[in-house]
Amino acid sequence: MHPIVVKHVSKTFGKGARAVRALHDVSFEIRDGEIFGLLGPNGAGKTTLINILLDLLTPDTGTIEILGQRPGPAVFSEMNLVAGGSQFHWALTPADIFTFFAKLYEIPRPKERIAELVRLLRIEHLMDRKFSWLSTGEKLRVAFVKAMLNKPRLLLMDEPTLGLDPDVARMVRKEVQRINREEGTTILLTSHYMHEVEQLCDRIGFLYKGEMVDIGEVKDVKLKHFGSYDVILTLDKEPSAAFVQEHHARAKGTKVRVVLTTEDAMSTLLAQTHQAGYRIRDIAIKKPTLEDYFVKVLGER
Amino acid sequence: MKLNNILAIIANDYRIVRKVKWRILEVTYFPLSTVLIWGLFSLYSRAYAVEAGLIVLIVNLFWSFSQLAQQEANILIMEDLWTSSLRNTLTSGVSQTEYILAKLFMSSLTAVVVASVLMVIANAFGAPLSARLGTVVLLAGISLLCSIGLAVIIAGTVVMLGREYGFLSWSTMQLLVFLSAPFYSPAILPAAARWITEIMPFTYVFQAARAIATGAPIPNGMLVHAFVIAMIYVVAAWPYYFWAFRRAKKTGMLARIAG
Repeated sequence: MHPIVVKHVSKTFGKGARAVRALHDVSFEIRDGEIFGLLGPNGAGKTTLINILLDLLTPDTGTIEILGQRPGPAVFSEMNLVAGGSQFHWALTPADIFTFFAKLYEIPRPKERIAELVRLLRIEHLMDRKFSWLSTGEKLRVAFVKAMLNKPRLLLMDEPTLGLDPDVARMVRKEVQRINREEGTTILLTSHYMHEVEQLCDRIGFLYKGEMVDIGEVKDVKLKHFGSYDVILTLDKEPSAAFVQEHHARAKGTKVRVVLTTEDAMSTLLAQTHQAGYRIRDIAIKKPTLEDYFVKVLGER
Repeated sequence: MKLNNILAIIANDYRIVRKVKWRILEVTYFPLSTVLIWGLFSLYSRAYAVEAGLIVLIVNLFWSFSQLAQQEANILIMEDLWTSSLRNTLTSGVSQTEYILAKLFMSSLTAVVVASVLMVIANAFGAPLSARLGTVVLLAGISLLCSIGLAVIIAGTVVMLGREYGFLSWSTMQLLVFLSAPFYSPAILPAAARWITEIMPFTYVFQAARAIATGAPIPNGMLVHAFVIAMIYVVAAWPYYFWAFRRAKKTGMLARIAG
């Protein structure tokens, strides 16, 4: 059973000439134990989709299954949400907030669980401060503790590192990886930071103008759009013209830039370089990043 | 329906009310000052052998109680909207029913506690409340039902139309009290306007309150009528609330206001 199954979901806001199509026939599933990245430019439909998953919005057509059930209170006790800019009542302290949600999630031995998570996220010193006094990073750590209280089987993360300092964002990413690896939590992540998605996600889905235009493993979707990558070899001497021609390469001094299309081609290139009598001083691989992919997909459309 | 969720929200709202100073002021100072002002007026007017002071005092007591019960529930909801914390609550396994029931319970409890204190004060000013305690409690129960019905209708309307309709939380009661003939008999109104007072939730409660002040008998028919009207509001409010929630989910308003 996949933790999230979305089938033919469409949503349009408004009617007539003012109608705005937010999602159109979106179908995908998120596999058990994976980190799935939902990408797309502003207005692509990511937030609409998250709101539908959270049962805050009803789709016009299509069905959603979360952990085998329709979205609603029954299944929400087994999942959780952490969003950038996550809000709690300004007058409450983190201690109040955790007590409230621990009660809602019916956490056995709530004090121990809260203490464990508070230690893990290093916010012991914030427990008695009003939420409104906390910095953006501290607020996110509070949201994170709340999100992990019930050891969720599924975690929705909507722009979790938005506006965070790099060190806090790194800590959040580490924590995401830890709970995915150690607790087996399936994670749906939306983010504008491509390096973050590339670092964390097993698979991605690319939403554009309400349609899922790409879905798959990160390397596969990139390969689909780029089909090749560059290898730059630094040799012990300048390459011969024959060597350059044979590999359809470009050379500048002792550096040779070769375009490869498959992973296997790399070992062949290295072997042939060695056979041609060159010693390799350095290798640099220039693969397209997810950001390159993002820009290219938008450019194509 | 999970009692655990209702109790968790009540406990959380209690924490909020305790920590937000203006909420304490709102819940205690305004009803208290109302009873004190009209209590003193009743003492003053008695010097002129006029019962108007007691009428105003007792009607105001019921008015304050009803307003507190309704307004407190709706303001607790508005707090969740103003602070954008509704999303976290609604996605933690809390149903719409549990959510509103918790707010209603908290507001009713607050109103009952505050009104009990007000009643003691009003009694000290000479309002004959303890002498007709049974009737007073019955009327308070009917008022509470009306307030609950109104609070549920207002909650549905705000969820459906958005935060800017939050003003209904503290203005609806004012409108309804005005149309409920608080300090006078509906008989003095033009015939064309009388039907409005007849369908208002608080008309019969105020009518009975005036009878308590003057020592006049309260016909059972009037109490039954008041109860029936209150029940109509309560029964009609729930389908409207669920319909408004569904509508807010369809239009995207719930996602927008939840945070």
